[in-house]
Amino acid sequence: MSRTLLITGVCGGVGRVLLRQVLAATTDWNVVGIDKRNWVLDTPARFEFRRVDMRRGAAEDVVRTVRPDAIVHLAFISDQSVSRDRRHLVNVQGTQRLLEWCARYEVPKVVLLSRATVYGARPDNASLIPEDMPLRLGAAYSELSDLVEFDHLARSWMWEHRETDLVLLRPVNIVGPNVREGMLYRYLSGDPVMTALGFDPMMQLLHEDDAIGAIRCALRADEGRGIYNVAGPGALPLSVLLRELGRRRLPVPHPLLSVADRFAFLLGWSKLPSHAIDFLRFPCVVDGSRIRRELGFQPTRSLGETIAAIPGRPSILA
Amino acid sequence: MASVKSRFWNRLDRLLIDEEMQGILDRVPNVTNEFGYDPWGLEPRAAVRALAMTRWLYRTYFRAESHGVENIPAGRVLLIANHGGQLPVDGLIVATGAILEAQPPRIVRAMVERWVPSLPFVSTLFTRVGQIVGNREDCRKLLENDEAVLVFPEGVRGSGKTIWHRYELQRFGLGFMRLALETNTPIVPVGVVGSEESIPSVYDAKVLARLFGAPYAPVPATLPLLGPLSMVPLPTKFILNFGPPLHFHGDHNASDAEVADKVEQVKTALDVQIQRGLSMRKGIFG
Repeated sequence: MSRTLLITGVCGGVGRVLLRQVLAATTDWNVVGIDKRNWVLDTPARFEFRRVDMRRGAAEDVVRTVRPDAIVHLAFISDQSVSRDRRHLVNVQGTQRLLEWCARYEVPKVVLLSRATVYGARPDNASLIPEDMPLRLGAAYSELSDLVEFDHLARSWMWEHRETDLVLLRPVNIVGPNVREGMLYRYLSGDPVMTALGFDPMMQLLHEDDAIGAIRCALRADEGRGIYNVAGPGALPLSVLLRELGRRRLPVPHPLLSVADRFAFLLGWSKLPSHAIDFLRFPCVVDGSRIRRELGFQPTRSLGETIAAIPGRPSILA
Repeated sequence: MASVKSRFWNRLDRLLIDEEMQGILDRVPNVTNEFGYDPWGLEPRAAVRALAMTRWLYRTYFRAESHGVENIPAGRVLLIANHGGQLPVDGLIVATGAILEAQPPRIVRAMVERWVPSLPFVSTLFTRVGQIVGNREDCRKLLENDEAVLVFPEGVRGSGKTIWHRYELQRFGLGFMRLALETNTPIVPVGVVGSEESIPSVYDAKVLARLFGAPYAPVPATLPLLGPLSMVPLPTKFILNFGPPLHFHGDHNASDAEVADKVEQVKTALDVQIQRGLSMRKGIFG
């Protein structure tokens, strides 16, 4: 019996790789992808693309007519240069509507991608943050409240709607050839890059293939529902990551970091979001053992391979 | 720049890391990833590098002796020690003893104060040598990872006490016992002698402490003579006694009263090790 998977935001990097892998690894899944962007690649077999905006009634009609067996929701703006209002519209309101449709059309499974950054980088963070830690990103950085609100929304919906198995994943920084946005990517686009003098927080990375692997574990698990951190193969200090990538470091005393960042454009660097500065000082290292234990997730890429997969600096900045 | 930096560390390592330290580095049981770090940020090479300084303090400055290190079992263990002497020199010396003398050498993990991670350089150093900020949950994960964790159950009640109360064990916290029960971890009492006279505080200026938000404010006896230098620990003779491991069984969510009974046994066993250390020394400096 063939089943149908709906991927929202399928044109994004993670969406494209997920589609490719699901089609390659299974024979019984058909995939319907929706996105407000256009699908510019070849359309493979067992895949159907519908160009709809999540905020329009047409998107609901896709769910209504396709009746998917599972939804992976990737229509999410993680680019912080997009205005806060727009991010709220897509990330929070868009997700809320999708979840309403899941309840209305009795979708058995939905997988949402939050971020490990929702825990925030704080000096008194646990060394390995478990899933039940309070989310402290929003308290310090109101401009990122959409991330935290999205996470809370998914969590409370999960307890209210037990007929749908919702899996909320909180992956660490996803990197790979198809990931060309996000805080870490922007940070690494500079050379030299600013670091906080005397601080060297531990960093976790997740290869895009392993992020897909985690999503597929979540899809495979029968009855699986819950919140899972997704950590990669290990942690390493920021300084070692920069060394491996061949980036030069420019250590700045931390009280001056935000001032220095304001003038960063003079050197051709893209400006960091203000919360990024805390991530240069304090660790936000999550405990990824629950998903390994309960869903059998196992990263396949080593730390070295994961770092090697980080794309080089975009030529326009080089 | 990166290559200059790594060349600097390579040269420093050639200068610092002698045969003994290399032997220790080869034998520490800690599991690290391909870049040489464990999940908590420990870099065994950095921990061994730090030995260049602490080994001098241990052997030359404090002339420390460790007895009964064979009592440290392989695998997970909680080291429970008495706390005194204002600055955590006792922790430093116990950790140095465990890495220099124990077989296999053990990198001792301890929980540091929550403000430590906001200090530049210090935060990085502490993390690399295996100290962690964290809560009980983190401590449990360390023990499940078969680490050696050092706990001072007296906390600041011990370290802030005056010279008049030296080697009198203060009230113990119960958290370590609940962890030991939950993770089935043996407890090794470590009697530390020498630490409690190293900064002989004659008075705890509580008003001053409150003013600075510090847990205590010692007034060393040597203050009129040495001024601010009186906060440098005196070269007292350190004697460490590692007692036989204690095994406890039971419910880790038992009432405080039940857990306190077990804690009392640890306290008694620790006092035996302290008294043994006191009887071994001829004088505070000898």
